[in-house]
Amino acid sequence: MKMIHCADLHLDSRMNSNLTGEKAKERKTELLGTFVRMVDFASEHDVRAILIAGDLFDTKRISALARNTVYETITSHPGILFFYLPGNHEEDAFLASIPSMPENLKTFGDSWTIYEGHNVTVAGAVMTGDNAGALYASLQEDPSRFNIVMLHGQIADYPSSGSDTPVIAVSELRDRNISYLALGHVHQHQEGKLPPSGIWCYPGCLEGRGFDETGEHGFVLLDIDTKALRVNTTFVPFARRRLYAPEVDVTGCMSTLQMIDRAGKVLDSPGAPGPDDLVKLVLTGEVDISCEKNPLLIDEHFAQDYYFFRTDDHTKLAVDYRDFALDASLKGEFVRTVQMDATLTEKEKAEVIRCGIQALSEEEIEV
Amino acid sequence: MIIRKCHVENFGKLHQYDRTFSGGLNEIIAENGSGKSTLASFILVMFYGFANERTRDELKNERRRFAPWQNGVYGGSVSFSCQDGNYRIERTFGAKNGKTDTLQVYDEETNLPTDRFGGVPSEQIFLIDRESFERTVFVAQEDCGTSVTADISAKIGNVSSETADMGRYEEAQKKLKEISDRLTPDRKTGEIARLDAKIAELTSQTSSAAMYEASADATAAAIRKLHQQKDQLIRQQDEVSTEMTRRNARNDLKMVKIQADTLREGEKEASLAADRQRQYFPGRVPSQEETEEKLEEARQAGVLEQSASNFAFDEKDTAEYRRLSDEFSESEPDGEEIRSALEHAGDIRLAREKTSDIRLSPDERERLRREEEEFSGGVPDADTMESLIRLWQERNRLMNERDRNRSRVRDLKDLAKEQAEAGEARKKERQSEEMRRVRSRRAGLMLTVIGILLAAGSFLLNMLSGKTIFLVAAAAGLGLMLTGVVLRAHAGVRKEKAASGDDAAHRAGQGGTASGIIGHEEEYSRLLSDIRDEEEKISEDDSHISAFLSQLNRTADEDRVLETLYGIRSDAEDYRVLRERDRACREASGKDRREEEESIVALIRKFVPEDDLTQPEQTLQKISYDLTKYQTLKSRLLRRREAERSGKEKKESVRSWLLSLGFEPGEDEEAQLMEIRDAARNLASLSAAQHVKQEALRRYEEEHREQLEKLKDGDLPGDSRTAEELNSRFKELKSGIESVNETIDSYVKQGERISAHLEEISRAEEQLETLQQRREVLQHRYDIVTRTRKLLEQARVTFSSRYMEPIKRAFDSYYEMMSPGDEKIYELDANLNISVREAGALRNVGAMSEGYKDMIGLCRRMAMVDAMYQEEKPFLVFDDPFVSLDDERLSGAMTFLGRLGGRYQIIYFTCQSNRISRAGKEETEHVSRD
Repeated sequence: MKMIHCADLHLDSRMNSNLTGEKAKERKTELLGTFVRMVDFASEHDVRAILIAGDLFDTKRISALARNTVYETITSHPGILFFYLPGNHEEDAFLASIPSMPENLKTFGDSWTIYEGHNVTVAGAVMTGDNAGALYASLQEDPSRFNIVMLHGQIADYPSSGSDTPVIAVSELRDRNISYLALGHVHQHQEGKLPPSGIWCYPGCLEGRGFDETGEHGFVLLDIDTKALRVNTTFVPFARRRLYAPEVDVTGCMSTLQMIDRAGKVLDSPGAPGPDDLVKLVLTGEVDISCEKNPLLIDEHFAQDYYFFRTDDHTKLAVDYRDFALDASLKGEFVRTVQMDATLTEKEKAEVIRCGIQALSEEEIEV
Repeated sequence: MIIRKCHVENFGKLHQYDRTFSGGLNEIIAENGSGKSTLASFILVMFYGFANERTRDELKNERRRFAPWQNGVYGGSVSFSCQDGNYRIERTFGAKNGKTDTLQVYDEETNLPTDRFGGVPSEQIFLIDRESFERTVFVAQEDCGTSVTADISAKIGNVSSETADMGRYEEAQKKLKEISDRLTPDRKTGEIARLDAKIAELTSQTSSAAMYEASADATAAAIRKLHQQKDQLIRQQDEVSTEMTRRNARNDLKMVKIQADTLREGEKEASLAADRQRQYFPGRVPSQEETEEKLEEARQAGVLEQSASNFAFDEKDTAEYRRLSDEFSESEPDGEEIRSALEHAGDIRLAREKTSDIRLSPDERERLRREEEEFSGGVPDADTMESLIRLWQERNRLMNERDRNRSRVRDLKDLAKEQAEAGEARKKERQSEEMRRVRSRRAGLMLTVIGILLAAGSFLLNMLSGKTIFLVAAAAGLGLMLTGVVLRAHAGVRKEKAASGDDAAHRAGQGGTASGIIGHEEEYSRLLSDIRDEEEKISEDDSHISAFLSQLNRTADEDRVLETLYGIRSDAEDYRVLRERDRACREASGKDRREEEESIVALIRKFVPEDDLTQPEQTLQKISYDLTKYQTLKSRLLRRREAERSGKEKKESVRSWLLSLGFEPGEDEEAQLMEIRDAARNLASLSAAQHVKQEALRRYEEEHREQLEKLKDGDLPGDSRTAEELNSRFKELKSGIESVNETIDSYVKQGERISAHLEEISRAEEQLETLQQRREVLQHRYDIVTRTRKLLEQARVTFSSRYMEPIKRAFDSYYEMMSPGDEKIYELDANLNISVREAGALRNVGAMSEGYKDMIGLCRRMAMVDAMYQEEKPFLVFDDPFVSLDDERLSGAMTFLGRLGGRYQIIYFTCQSNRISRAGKEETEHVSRD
């Protein structure tokens, strides 16, 4: 029997932390599209069930488009069971907003809800800080079946309190005949062993939404041998687009063109992003205060090669105060004055010095 | 640096003015309007050129202001010593603009041009711009105040022009201020301020998010609650419905019972009815088929009986039958034989009739014979006759045509004869005419000659005598001459006409055609040809017709040929008809019918021996009729007998059947049978009905076994509520559910509206986030720029403070010179501005008197000049700077002037003798007076 395990789709996410306007809307729509594609994939590959381990939506405020798309995708695939565990983001907003509960949509509450069929059990519960203990205590699976448990939270070795995020303690879930612990909350694919013979798995989010979610994203395809009670898991990269945040050390560069040249080499290397991807180029290193640096020009140079391109300037301005120690000019006096200002951080000092020197030199002032 | 001399070519009112200067103090005292300020300005312009060239104000526009009063070359020269060299600036100026200006610096050692000082020599010499020069070295009249310029600061700071960022300090601060102003959060026009406004607006908009979310939650909760309420109502409705169902079920049971009882009752009645009907039958009950069969038998018996009576003979039939039996006692004729004989007899009769129609009459036979003889050689067919007739008709037409042609030929010949006679006459006339014509010509000639002679002579005489009479005579002579000419001409015309007439007559007389016809030769030839052809054709036709007639031994006159041909045609047609009739008649009469006639006779004799055979056909018809009649009667007899027998048989069968059933046969068996049939049918029907009812009862009992069992258990429980009450409650609950649904709908709509608001808020939040990020960025920029400005200013102050002290000392020194013992406390700031400390606070010197301000200005200028020019000192130009000083201060000013003159070349202009230096006089090198 085949199943898909996915989580953290965060549909209806605003996507405007990096994107603006039309692109943000486009990505938001693409997120929905990826969900629909995943269900189509399931239909084409004889997948019997889809496990959604939380955060299907980004907020409780679900748009009509997202609600209708998910609802109609579920209802138009009556042959696929959808096991939906609400997450900490959307709570029960989706279930409360749909006109009726489809037959093939199975949900979970704050105590264990169990579904059985074909020698497979799917159990799930919305774990909070208050009910974790009770949940652990009441969970006991039949070893003669293939047992899937769905939870949403941060896995840890031991229970923890005081955290906003539910903590899923491995120590409490071992030796409970769990064959596959289907988790959600962590946005990167991770797997681990759950004694005695099970595994836990975060499939990661289906699509990266920000540059803190670079790398491959998708879902996990489970191929369950219901007789031997074994499972073969395969991570399926499925994101429409990938995010990249390559760093380029521009130390020594004195002009924007030199930086572009160096960035070009990094972006041409193996594993580099493609035209459908989002790229945030991070400039690092130290540059001289007299260095001419224009991130907008770098953006313009690479923008047409990718779906989205942005340059983040994390460079430090290198100021050698010794050069100005004996400078009798106003510039020298200015640098010494800035250097002695204890209210400024080193970074701010570099910026102020660069600004002042550019002003005194009648250059374009870049701040 | 010192100015040694200057030469003014033309500059304002100065014209060809020369002045030499020495080092130290040069005091120039002159009355007002003598040109002192003009000379001072000349010196300034020679080094720095004109100011305010763009303005139209003639007082401000120096080029116009100092335009030469005397015309001539506008310009001059200044000789100066600088940097261990002696130089001379020569400049000329255009009156209106600088296009024709010239500037040249000469090295006075070589008297050659030098470009040592570049394009603007003053800036290379003094290292400051014009404004700075006017703020320091050059003190214009009533303009002792000063301010610090960038060049002054740079000069004071003693940095090179390449690193003169001090000179760019103001510009830098201006640029930073522009950025700061553009970004500022403190003014509405600032980008950050505008962002703040937008952020505030969005924040306000998004602040209602919580409220809308709460509303959304409340609405969702209300909807959930309403759903619960609805569920409850539905449950109650279901309960009522269940109760109604139960009630209905109880009613159903009742109905079942009633229905079962009804069915049983019905079954019972059906049984009784069937039993009653069964009693009708004493014995067994016959089947329907059996009864019908017997009834049919009875009917048939009746029919046969009736049929037998129909076939009975009356007396007439009997007699006729007897007769015919006798007639056909030996044998009955064969109907087919009679019919065949009749047919033959008919044929024979028809044949005879036919031949009588076509038999030729004696006249016709005679005609046939004659025509046969006539046409023994062959009878012409209709087409041949037709063509012969047309031939003869055509022939006659040709005859007519030929005759016409001949007539025409005769006419033409008559015409020729006439023409010939006419020609003779014409010939005679022509001869006469010729005679007349000759005579005319001769007469005309004579008249002409006479006329000429007369005219000539008369003219001559007239000329000789001059008498008019001779003119008349001359005229007459001319007339005669003319007449003669006319006569001759006329005779010529007549000759031509005669010639042409002769030609025609000649031709006619010649007989160029056979007929001698003039103008109809062609026609004549053609006519002759036609006549030949026609006669040839006519002859041919005649021969043809003649040959034809000969074949038939016929002749005819020409005028009777056509009639003859018509006759022949008619005879031929008649002959063909008669011949055909004769043939047909012979053919019809020749057929052999004797055998048929004999067989007819034999047949007739067999049955009507006494017949005369004159009309065998009628006889045969009678025989046939009798035969038919006989056969009919015979058939009737047989059928009657059969009907009687058969009827009796059937009747007997019916009776025995009735007896077998136990019935006594009645008079009307058929009626009886019908009665039995109906009874049996009725019984069958009742039995069927009984069966149906039994079956229905059985099925009903089977289907409702449970209910019937229940019914067996005891009485049905009573209903707590009536049907009306239940219905009413159901309707009430239904109405309640509908009302809740409406409320849910309205909440849903409200929820949708709230969702729409939340969508808007969500978009606003997105925008807010973006703007806040942007604001952060701009704020950071603003902070950096602000800090930069501040720190740059701080740096500048620090930078300036290095030379503040020397300047302050110099100021104090100069001030002490000008106002000794003055206890005012002055302070110098980093901008080299002087403030006065009075009453514990620093005050702006602008509020002081003019005298003090001038003093302060001069002291400040000189303090700056001292700081600016550490090595080579510039010359100073003072244009009466002490006008505002009182006597006490004036005395100090003179001391100031004298001491300055020890270190600087000063060109000092004044109009007052009391404003010349006395103190320090011993320090000056030369004083010159004007």
